[in-house]
Amino acid sequence: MRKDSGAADGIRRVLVANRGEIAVRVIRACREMGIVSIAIYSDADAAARHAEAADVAVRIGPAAPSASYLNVDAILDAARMTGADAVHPGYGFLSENADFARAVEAAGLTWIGPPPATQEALGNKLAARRSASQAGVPVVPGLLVALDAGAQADMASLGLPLMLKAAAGGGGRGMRRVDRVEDLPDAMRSAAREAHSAFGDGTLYLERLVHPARHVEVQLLGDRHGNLACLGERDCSVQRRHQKLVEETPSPAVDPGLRERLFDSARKVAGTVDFHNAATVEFLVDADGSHYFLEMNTRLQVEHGVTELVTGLDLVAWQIRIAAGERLPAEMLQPEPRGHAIEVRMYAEDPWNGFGPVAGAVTAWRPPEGPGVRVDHAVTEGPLTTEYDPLLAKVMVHAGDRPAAVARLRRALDETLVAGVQTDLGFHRWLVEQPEFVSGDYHTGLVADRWQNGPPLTAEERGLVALAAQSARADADAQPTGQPVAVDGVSPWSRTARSEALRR
Amino acid sequence: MSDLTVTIGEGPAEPAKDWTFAWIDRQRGIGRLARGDESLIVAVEGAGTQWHVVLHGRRVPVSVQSWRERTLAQAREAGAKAGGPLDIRSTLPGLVVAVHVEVGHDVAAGSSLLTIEAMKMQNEVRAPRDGRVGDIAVAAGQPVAAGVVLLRLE
Amino acid sequence: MSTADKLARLAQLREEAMLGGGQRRIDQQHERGKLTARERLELLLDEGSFTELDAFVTHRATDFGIDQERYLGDGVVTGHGRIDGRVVFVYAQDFTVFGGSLSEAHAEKIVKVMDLALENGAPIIGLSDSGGARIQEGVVSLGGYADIFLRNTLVSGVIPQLSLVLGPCAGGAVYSPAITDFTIMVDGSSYMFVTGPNVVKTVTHEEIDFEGLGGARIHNETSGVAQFLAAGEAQAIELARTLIGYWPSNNVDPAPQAAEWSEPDVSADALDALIPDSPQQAYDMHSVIRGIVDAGSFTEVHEHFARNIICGFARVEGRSVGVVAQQPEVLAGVLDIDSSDKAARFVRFCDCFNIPLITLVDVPGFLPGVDQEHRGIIRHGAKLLYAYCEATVPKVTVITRKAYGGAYDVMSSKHVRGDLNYAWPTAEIAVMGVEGAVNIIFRDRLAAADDPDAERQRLVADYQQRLANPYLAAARGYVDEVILPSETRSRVAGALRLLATKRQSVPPKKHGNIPL
Repeated sequence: MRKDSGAADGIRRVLVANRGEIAVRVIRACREMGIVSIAIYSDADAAARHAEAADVAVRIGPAAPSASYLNVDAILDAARMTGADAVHPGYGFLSENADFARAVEAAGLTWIGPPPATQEALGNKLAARRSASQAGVPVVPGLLVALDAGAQADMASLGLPLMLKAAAGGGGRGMRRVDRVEDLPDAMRSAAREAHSAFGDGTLYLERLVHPARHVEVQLLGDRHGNLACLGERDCSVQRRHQKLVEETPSPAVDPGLRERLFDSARKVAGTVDFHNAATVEFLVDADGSHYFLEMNTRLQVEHGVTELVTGLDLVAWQIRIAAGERLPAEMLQPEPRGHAIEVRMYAEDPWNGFGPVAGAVTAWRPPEGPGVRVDHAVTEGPLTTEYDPLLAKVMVHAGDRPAAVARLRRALDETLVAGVQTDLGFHRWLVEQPEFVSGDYHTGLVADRWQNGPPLTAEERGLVALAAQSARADADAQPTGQPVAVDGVSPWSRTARSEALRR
Repeated sequence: MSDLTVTIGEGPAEPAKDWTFAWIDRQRGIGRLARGDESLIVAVEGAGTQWHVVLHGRRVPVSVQSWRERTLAQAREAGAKAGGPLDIRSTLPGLVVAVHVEVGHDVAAGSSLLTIEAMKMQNEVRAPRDGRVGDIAVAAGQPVAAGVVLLRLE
Repeated sequence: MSTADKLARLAQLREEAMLGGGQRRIDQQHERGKLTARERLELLLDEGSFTELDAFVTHRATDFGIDQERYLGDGVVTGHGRIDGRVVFVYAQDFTVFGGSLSEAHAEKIVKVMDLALENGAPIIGLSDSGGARIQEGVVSLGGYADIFLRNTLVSGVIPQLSLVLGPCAGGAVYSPAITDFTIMVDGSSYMFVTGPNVVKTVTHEEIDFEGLGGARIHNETSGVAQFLAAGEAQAIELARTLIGYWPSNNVDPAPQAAEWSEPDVSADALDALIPDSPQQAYDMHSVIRGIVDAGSFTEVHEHFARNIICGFARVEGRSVGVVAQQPEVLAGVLDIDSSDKAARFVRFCDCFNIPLITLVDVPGFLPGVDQEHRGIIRHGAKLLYAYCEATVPKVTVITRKAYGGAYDVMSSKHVRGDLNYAWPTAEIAVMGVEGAVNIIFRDRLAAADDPDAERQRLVADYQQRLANPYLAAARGYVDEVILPSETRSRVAGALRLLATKRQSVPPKKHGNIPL
């Protein structure tokens, strides 16, 4: 197998069109490959980790994403100014924006990602669903055409409950669960409105709700020469409101037979388009072990790290090499994953309050360390920027088998300390104690069914919290207060007294 | 220190008896709770009466009050609430032109109760505090002397 | 006795002193819903800042068997502490020891902290809760009162003096709070009178209870003896802390400045819409005050007494100010005996302690009437005039509407050394109201007119147009600037910044002779 190091021909200066931990991740790959890394930063990020980590950092605009990390012209200007020869988009922001990819290529730069046309084709979830179905890949029962307001006569025949989805969708936006046929019109209206405001496209389609289900995805890496590698699957079934909180590989729900079927389907979906670079094909797996295609994401995923841990590959480095035209070596086409890896996402949000957003400043941050632990983060102690994604850190563990990985995760979470803002840490500590998670037998309803709004503090926890706060307060009270000390001659009163005394 | 009472959420919380607390890093607010061979690392942030403790990854808001702060806070709350009945008296002789409230009305401090015309001026009589109108002793068109009870605020 | 025993003896004495008149009496005090002297001081002063003096003082009397009963501290807790970090001296009478009655030793303790307060230029705060003189001691106790009165008078105007009456305060004792700058009373639990209901009944055959004779409401609403009414002891103490925050520690040091402040509660635009079109309609002058001073910074003095004038402390851009303002909603904001007394004393306090004055004028004149004239409105109105003439602190005046007659002169006018005088376009600066003026000037013409009412209306409109405005005064420089109501906050704040270094004096004299 080709060694996971060394430069890529033709790519010497990479502009990282992103921020936060993923920007840091890409910059690290560049460093290891001897490539000059170029960061962009908004006014809110002048002191951010990614700007500090890069070889070159360019201010891109004000804090608002539309003026900075989504500002195509400003990013291309920065690329020109710094002499970049390639652009890595990370995930989120412009990573799946085909217009941006085209503009990058039009500017004579290398786009580190799947071709723009492919991104465009797969960006429409409904179209992708249609072509996957045509290619013989099972899709979730439901409509293959856009839903229009008049065509709801045979909805019930699909089987309730149903999921409304946005054709342009992603991230759970524009999604609605429909339990009764009569609820459909209202659900359509609000989903269309949401989809329109999020993606500028209110087109909807319908699928039957698969429940209970596991969310399993396959990591693909393909070169420009027709070679395609399936680098294993990831199980992302711990979700709240259709957003992933925990990912692991291999999936406890996938046996070799299912794995083969999933890989086969993933290859077929990739075959419907002109694909190279990195992508992920997402499936639902129901209780019977049947799998259904959901969508294909044409970018690096947040959770790529667990795949890196078990395969020993650097996916970002390979993205760059593939973009530079390198071939995947034969060994990579038959990878042999080792052990088990789990990732938990730590967001600045309040799991006890519906996972709602929080604001504040990180006053203390101690990430976990030690054997088999990897932390990708861009946390700095100080105020949080509220303009962007609230992901603080990804804590990943790798061990020989799943029980060892769960034990390692529990240990790592024990070591982790964040103060100043509420995070998901307490949720994850709860999760690793749940029998379903420990056994691996869980599905996408786990958080909604079992966590709800989180367990209340136990009597013992209340006692411990009370003791800590009371002790800290008592200690603060005992510190010298810095009260003003009157000094003779300093206040007008004592100055007057002094001059009167001397007059005699 | 026993003087410091702790409130978590709505209710009082009794500090754990057999545990001890010690700072590891006071500057950054990292401390250790210990009992026998058990120990827990916690983060404690805050000042004055408002604190946060991060225990088991959960950041819990806590109020820690001294006897003094508790008493003053109670006084502040009591001050905000209405007191006993209060007679509203006329401060000047004049003519009641309008009564703006009815018996049983809840009125806010500063809202107009009635208007008395005196010295060629329309004088608003306002509620000195929040309350409910108990008894109204006058009616529009009625002349009043200084110092008579106009209405009672419960 | 070993050293350890000696140390233990001190610890034991300290513990004994903390108990005052004993646990039983402390419990009784609590049952009455009252705090003990030490608890009150703990509330009043910053956490842990109280330092007690003279905890081991006891009385020296021997008559009537009182020598059999001695308590450490002798019924008053004295010492010093801090309020928001600033030193204050305090004493609190301890009702659990001989009902807080004043003995020679008790008085000596108070005198000691008063002397310390004066020497160190720090405020003195007295918490009264006392049955009166220690009768067993006779004239010695009376002497003790006089020693305190003398010091109240000597330190007056040098350091701020604040009294909290938290229980009974009867007989001669009332004159200490009366001389101090401000008195706070607690609704339902504090009384002040020179002679109690029993004596009143014997002498004048009037039946009255404690509350009706000298309760907190009577003194706040009717007599004006107390300036503040609190709903409870803790609230009274909070108020005391708030007041100290406005005042300098003495007549030389500057007042504390708030590090943070926010724009007024009432918006500038709301002021533009405040004055009603009809001169017969009132408005609440509190809105103007809250449109000028920092948000939440206003504390009213004498809120329930003579409500036709408003006095109070506030901050503008974090700096302490005293506000005097007519209240058109009460008696049309007229100046009468009580309102003149109230404002005069407030103005003089501010002048003593270098607190700038903001005067808001909407005054129709002095209150006419036999009662007022016979009770001496001339004598009392003169006090306010005197106070304004004498005051050398920065004086900023805003005329919002009426400024009629002699009352115009009184209210911090340019002529009595108002530093910067503003008027709103709605101001009417004139010798008297328009109708009155027309009736006098055109008496003959109105009598001769075919239709006197129509003629009067025409003349009134004409007079209004020509004289009832701020521009004649502005033309003379009596008004420095005519401003939009919405500009008031910025003008006043600017004026105060400008006048921070003001230097003005009165001719050397022992003291003036204010009409009393």
